[in-house]
Amino acid sequence: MGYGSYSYEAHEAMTRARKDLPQQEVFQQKACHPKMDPYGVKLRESRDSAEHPNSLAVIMALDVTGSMGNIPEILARQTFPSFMKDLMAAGIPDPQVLFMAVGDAYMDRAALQVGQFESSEQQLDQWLTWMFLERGGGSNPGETYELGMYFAAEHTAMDCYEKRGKKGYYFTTGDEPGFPHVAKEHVEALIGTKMTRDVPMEEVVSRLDKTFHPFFLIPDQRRRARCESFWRGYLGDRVICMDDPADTCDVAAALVALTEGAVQSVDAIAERLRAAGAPKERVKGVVHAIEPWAKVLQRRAR
Amino acid sequence: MSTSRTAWLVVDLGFGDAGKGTLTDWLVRRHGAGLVVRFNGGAQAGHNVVTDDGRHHTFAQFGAGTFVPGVRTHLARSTILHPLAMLVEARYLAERGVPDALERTTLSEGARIITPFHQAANRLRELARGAGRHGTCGVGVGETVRDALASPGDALHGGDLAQPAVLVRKARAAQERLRAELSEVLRVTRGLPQATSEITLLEHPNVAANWADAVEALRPRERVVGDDWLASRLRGGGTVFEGAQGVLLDEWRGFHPHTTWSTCTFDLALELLREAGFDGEVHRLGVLRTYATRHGEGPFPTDEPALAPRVPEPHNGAGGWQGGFRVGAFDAVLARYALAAVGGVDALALTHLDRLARHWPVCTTYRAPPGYDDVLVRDTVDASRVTALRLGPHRDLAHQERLTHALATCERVREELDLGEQPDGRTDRFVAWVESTLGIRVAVTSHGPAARDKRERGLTPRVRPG
Repeated sequence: MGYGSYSYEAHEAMTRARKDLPQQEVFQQKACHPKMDPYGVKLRESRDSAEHPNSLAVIMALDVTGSMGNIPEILARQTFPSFMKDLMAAGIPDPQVLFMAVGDAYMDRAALQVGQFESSEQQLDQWLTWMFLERGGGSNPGETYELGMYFAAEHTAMDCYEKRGKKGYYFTTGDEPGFPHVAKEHVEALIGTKMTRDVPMEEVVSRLDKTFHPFFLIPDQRRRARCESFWRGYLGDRVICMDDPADTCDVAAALVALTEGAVQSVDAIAERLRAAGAPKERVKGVVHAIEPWAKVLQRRAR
Repeated sequence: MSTSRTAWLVVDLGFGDAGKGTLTDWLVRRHGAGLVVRFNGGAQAGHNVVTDDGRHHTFAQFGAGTFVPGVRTHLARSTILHPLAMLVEARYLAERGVPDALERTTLSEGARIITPFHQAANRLRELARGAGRHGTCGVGVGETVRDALASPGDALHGGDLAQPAVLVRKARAAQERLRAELSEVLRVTRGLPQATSEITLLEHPNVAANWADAVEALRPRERVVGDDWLASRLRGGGTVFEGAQGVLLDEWRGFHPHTTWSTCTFDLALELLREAGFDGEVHRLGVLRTYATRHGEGPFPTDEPALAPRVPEPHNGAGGWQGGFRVGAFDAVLARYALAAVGGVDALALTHLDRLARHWPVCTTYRAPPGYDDVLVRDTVDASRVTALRLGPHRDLAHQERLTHALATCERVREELDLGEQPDGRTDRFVAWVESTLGIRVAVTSHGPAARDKRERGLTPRVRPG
């Protein structure tokens, strides 16, 4: 036996190929990255540009609590970077994506982290890297998803809506209920807005609904029981049950494509995934997740 | 080019490093074998060959016959390939006057593939063990084998290398799988300086695609063959089956947990021959040094640091992840155990005879306190003496672990042979001692690193029935 020196050299080269990496410390975020701290943020803006004249805002609010333990950080860091590509491939020419991390404001130190709307994968990647994956969440039966919804409703401005009357998309991934109110103290402590009262969840959802299509994505069938009925109460058909958390990006991209009318049918989505080399099992999973929503759209079209 | 259909099977009867590479090179030259088959292990091998004109290469994934023009290497189904390390090694060989090593190499479509994620996972696990290290090469061979057993449907194989889309997808899946599995290990190792870049590789989204791009340079379409390819090649002349590592590190026969994820006996080579319907002559050659060596952690009963200055080690540093290189007296107890574990050999190859000094330490028994009688064989007269290790049922890791604990209680009984004043006589005396002690003929002796330093004492062919 030698000492694997050729493989060490190859391995080092692989590591060096990562020189575009932000500082190592980013993987060791011990708290909310200052750039992702929503405190005092007036607006996150999604604007058209010369290269992206048809911007469409998409927010991905990821549950980063321990209860999502088997949707490990890797999903956030490995499949989301291709989210932009997935959206474009689904026929959305100028997506602008903003990542949020939601946790539990009753338990966690960084219960809400908010990036910026980005049009390039590289910049998106940066926000993902800066995300502090607290893995907390505590023992109470919910996460404060409603804080992310509140932020999106009250603190975003989007050309797609202002110029073209097109709503953006707001996806939450999660496996627990939220709370029936956005707590006054959470908003004051995390976002910095003075509040006179708690805001009921219904109010937050209907406010969000004006400018966004909100969806709640449940990672797998096993975890439906914990939260499906809670979210159905507020979002109805826009609760989406997936087979596998690995499908999150494909499912979200497909929901946007179907709702926008960029793709006409579930079959067309499946076809595209197959052509891109997705395994049979995954294509099936995506189809399974989006079919109910596709039927809703068909009913509306009639 | 020999036209006789002969297969030489070269296996190390110790902990590795006995000289399989130099013997493979010599067999190829001496008997005109045109093909070297690697049948176990992978990129962690390090088989040193020095040519008569002084060029040196440590062979890891290319067969040790590669210095001889035209000799081919086949990496069999049972090997584990590190594609990028192979490219690095090809570059080194080119610098040593062998520009076409890759062109002369084929890979079984069934061989398992090491990704950067497996290598990083291997290193992180070892770091997380802290003081309880198992000893590892830090290459990722074991991690790859383990992962392929756990997720057979997702494992990367040679056949995938020629399909870039599949390659990226499977690599990415491996990254996610290993990250998920290692969450606890990551928690423990985060912040350790040695872990930083490994964690980065495991976490960074572009690594899989970059790796797949880099693998293209192997030109896998020209390299990957079905398993029927070997059968036709074996009919074409002499073949050397070059084993990797050593029987005492064997996954089932070694001293658990200080073992390798690979079968180091003749079994895999014999299986390949059987599958190919091979009907030629087979020689099973067991390789031993004139003294014992061990890389890294684990039992080493005859450890004798004072011997080190007398047996310089030009090509085996205390390198990287493996830990130190240890030397000790020739251990007949372990050699007998290895012989039992492989089911015997047709002949021995003895190396490093040039190191022999007049007073040469050897060991034929251990001294041990009472206990472990289920795994230790004791002298009938003096029960404090251990004369042999019991071969357990095959694949009984509990037995292998007992052996490890038992060996920890054993102390070598140091004997010293007087091999005489004249260096010339020492070889004959030592060879005679080995032959009588182990009951097996020594067919080749090696007195230095090059082919010209080998002396054949007669390789009598054995035809294996069936």
